[in-house]
Amino acid sequence: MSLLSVQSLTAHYGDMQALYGVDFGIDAGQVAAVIGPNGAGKTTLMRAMLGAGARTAGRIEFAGQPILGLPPEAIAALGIAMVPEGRRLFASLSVEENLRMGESAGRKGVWTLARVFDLFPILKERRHRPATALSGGQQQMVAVGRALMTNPKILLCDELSLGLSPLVVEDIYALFPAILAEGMALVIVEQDVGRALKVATSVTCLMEGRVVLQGAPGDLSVDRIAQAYFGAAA
Amino acid sequence: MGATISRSGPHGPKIALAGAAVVLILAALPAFADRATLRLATEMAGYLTLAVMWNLLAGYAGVMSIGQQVFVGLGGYAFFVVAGLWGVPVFAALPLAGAFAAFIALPIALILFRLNGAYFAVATWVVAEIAALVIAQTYAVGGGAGMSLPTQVAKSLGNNDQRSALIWWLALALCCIAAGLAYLWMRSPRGLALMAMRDDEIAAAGLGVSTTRNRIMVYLIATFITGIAGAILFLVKLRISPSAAFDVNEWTASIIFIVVIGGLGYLEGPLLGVLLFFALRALLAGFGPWYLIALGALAIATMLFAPGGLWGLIHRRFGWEIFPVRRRVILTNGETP
Amino acid sequence: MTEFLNLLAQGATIGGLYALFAAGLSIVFGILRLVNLAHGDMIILGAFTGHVVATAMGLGFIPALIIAPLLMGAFGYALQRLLLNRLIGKDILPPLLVTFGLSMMIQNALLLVFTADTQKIALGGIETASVPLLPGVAVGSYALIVLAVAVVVIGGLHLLLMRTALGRTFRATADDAETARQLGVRTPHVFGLATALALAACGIAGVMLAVWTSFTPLAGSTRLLIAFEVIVIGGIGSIWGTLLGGILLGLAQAIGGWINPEWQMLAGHIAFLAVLVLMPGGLFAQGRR
Ligand SMILES: Nc1ncnc2c1ncn2[C@@H]1O[C@H](COP(=O)(O)OP(=O)(O)OP(=O)(O)O)[C@@H](O)[C@H]1O
Ligand SMILES: [Mg+2]
Repeated sequence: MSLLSVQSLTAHYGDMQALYGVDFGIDAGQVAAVIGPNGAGKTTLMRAMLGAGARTAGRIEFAGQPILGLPPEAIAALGIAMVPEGRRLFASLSVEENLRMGESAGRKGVWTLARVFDLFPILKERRHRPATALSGGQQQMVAVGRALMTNPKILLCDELSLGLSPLVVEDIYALFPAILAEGMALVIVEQDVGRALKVATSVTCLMEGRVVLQGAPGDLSVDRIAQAYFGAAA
Repeated sequence: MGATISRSGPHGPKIALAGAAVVLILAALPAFADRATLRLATEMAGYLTLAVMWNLLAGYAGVMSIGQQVFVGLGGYAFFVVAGLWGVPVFAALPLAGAFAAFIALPIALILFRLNGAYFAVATWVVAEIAALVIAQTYAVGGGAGMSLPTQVAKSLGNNDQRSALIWWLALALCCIAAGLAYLWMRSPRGLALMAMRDDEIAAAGLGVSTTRNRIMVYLIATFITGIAGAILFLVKLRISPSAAFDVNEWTASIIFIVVIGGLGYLEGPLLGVLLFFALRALLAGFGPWYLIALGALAIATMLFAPGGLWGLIHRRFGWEIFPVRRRVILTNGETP
Repeated sequence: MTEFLNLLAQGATIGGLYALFAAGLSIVFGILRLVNLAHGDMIILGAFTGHVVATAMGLGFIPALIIAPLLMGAFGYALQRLLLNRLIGKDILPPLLVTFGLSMMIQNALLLVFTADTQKIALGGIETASVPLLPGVAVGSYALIVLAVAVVVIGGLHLLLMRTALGRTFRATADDAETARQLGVRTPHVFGLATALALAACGIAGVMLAVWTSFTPLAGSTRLLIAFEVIVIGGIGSIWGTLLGGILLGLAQAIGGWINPEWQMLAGHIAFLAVLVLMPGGLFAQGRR
C-alpha cells in the first residue's frame, strides 16, 4: 500500500475543470516528479493533496486514511507539507519566525530550528532579517525549511527552481539526499524535465488535466516524454 | 422606459405592460386613498428610492456607504433653504437639492475613495456626523432646533389634498426615475464595467476599466437622487432638524435592511424589501427594542443563509427576472490567471 | 494661559481612554482584515458588564476590571467561531452588514435589559480628584489611571504580538491565512482568539469608560467613530500609533472645545479628515501594510 494514493481525482475551479480522473501514488523514501506544460494541472494536483485550492472529488488516501475533504490544517497535522509555488513567505515575519511557523502543525521529529540552520547556515546568519529582505535563493531555503519544520512524511515542492539561477538550483537539489535520508517522500513539480528525471524514482506527466504518461524514469525515453508533451504529433 | 424593457427578454413586453399598469394604478391612488395612506405611500416611495440607490452603490458598484444619511439630510436642508428661505418654486428647488447633495459628494468621493472598502464605510459615517454638527451650529437654518417649512411653500402646492397628491406623484416619479436610471446604468457598458470591477477589481483594471472614475460617476448619480429623495421626505414632514435629517438609523440602517432582506445586487430586491420592511414595522413596531433586535437578526440570517435575499431565493427557485441585468460578468475561459 | 494648559492636559489624558477604545478595533482589523461596526456597542456592552459586576453585584471596581474582559473575551471567541468565521473572505460586504446588524441587536438588547437610563460606576471620589502638574494646572487622577491602563494594555498587546508564538501566528495569519493553514495553523481558532482578545480590550475600555462618564445603551456609535478615527490618525496597523492617535484626537478635541465648546467633537472629526487628506497612511504608519 502506498503512503499516499490519489485515485480518479477531478478538480474544478468554478465551471472550469482542471483535473480529469488523475491517479497517482508515492511511497516513503521515493521522489515522484510531476511534469507537464503550463496549465496542465500540476499545482492543482499538489494543492488537492493538501486540501487546498480547487473543488475536488475522487479519493485521496494518506497512510490508509481518506483525507479528501479534510481542511489543510488537519492534513498538515497528519504530515503533508508544501513548498508553494512562489514561496509565499510571511512578509511581516523574520526568517526565524517564518521557519517557526512550521511548528504550527504540532509534529515532533528530527527537523528542528537547529537542524534547519545546519542545512542552511546562511539562514542562521540572517535569522532576524525580514524574510522578504533575502535573495530569491535564500527565500526558497526559508520556504523549504519552513515546510521541513512541520516534520512531514511527504514534502510537496512546487517549482523550486522558478526564478532562481542554475547554481542556486543546484545547491538546493544537492540537499535532497539529506532530506530523503530521514525517510521522507518527495513530490516535485518541475518545468525542467531533465532535472526531474535525474532525481525522480517515478514520473507522472500531466497534460490538460490528464495523466498521459507514468512510470520509472528508466523506462521512459526522452522521446516518449516529448511525444506525450506534444501529443497529437505522434 | 417601457421600450427599453421590451427589448430585454422573452417576457419583456408583458412585464413592461404590467409595470406600466402598476405605475398607472399607483398614480391614480389619490382618487381613492385618504391622506394618511398617501403619506405612507409617499414615505414608502422615498425609502424605495433610497434603497434602489444604495443597492446600486453596494450591490453593483461595490461602494459600501453607511453615511448616506448625509445626502438625505443635505438634500432636505438644501430644499428648505432654497424653497423656504429663498422662495424658489418647489419644482425647481427639488433638483437643486439633489444637485447640492451631488456637489458635496464630489469632494467626499475624491478624499474617501482612496480608502479600503471597510474604511470607506466608516469614514462616510464620520462625514455625516460632521455635516450634522456643522448644521447644528448654523443658526441661519435654526441650529440644533431645526426649522419649519414656511407655510407659503406648502400653500404653493394647493390645499391639503392637492398637496398630498402632488407630493405623492413627485415621490412616485422620482422612484421610477431612480429604478430606470439604475436599470439603464447597469445595462450600459459603464455599468457592466462597474460590475466587472466589483467582482474582480484587478482583472477589471487589467481590462482597462477605470475603476475610480466609474465609481465616482455612480456615486454622484446616487447622491443626486438621494438628495432629491431627502427633499421630498422632509417636504412631507414640513420640518427638519439635524438629528432627524442625519439619522443613521432612519436613513441608512433601515435602507441597508431593506436592500439586504430584499436582495442585494438584484434591482428587484429593494421593492420586495420595502414591502417587507413596512409590513414588519406596522406589525412589530409596538414591541420596541424587540422589533429592532428581530430586524438585526433577520438581516444577519439573510447574509448567512441567503446572501441574495428574498429576491435571490425567488430568482433561484423560479428563475424570475423583472429587470434582467447580468449580475456577474463572466470572463472568457482563457482569461483566468 | 493656565486655562489653555489645563485643556491640553485634559485632552492628552483623555487620549488614554481613546486609545483603549481603539485597541480592539485595531486588533480585529489587523488580524482579520475586518471592520467591526459593532465595536462601539461592544465597548458599551463591556461597560454594562462592568457595571453589573461592580455595582449590581457589589464586587467593586477591580473585580469588574478583571471579570468584564474575561466575559467579553469568551463572548468574542464564541461570536467569531459561530458567526463571523463564516463571513471571512474576499468580499467585505457580508462582515460589514452582519456587524451592523449585530450593533443593532446589542443596542436594543441592552435597552431591553437596562432601559435607556444613564448608568455609571462610582469609585468613591478618585474620579473627581486631581493631581497638580504646574501651579494652576492639574489633571484628573482618574484620567492618569486610565492613561496608565492604556499604556499597559497597549504595551501588553505589543509584547504579545511581537514576542509570543501566538502573536507570531496572528501576524502570519494576517499576512497570508491560506499558507498559514497549510502549515497547520487552525485559522478558525486563531481568528476566535483574535476576536476574544479584541473584545477583552473592549471590556477593559468599557469599564474604564463607565467610571469616566455616564453611559446609555445607545452610546456605542460615538465610540466606534472615535476608535476608528484614532486608528486612522495613528496609522492603520501600528499598535503604538493607537496611543499617539488617541492623544492627538484628545488634543484636537480640547483645542476645538477651547475655541467654542460646541466644536469639541467637530474638531476631532476634522482632525481625522485632515490626516486622511494630508497623510493617508496615518501619522505613525510603519510602512508595513
Ligand atoms: N485559482 C484558480 N482559479 C481558476 N482557474 C485556475 C486557478 N488556478 C489554476 N487554474 C486553472 O487550472 C488549470 C491548471 O492550473 P495549474 O495551476 O494546476 O497548472 P500548472 O500545471 O501548475 O501550471 P504552471 O506550470 O503554469 O504552474 C489552468 O488552466 C489554470 O488556468
Ligand atoms: Mg503550477
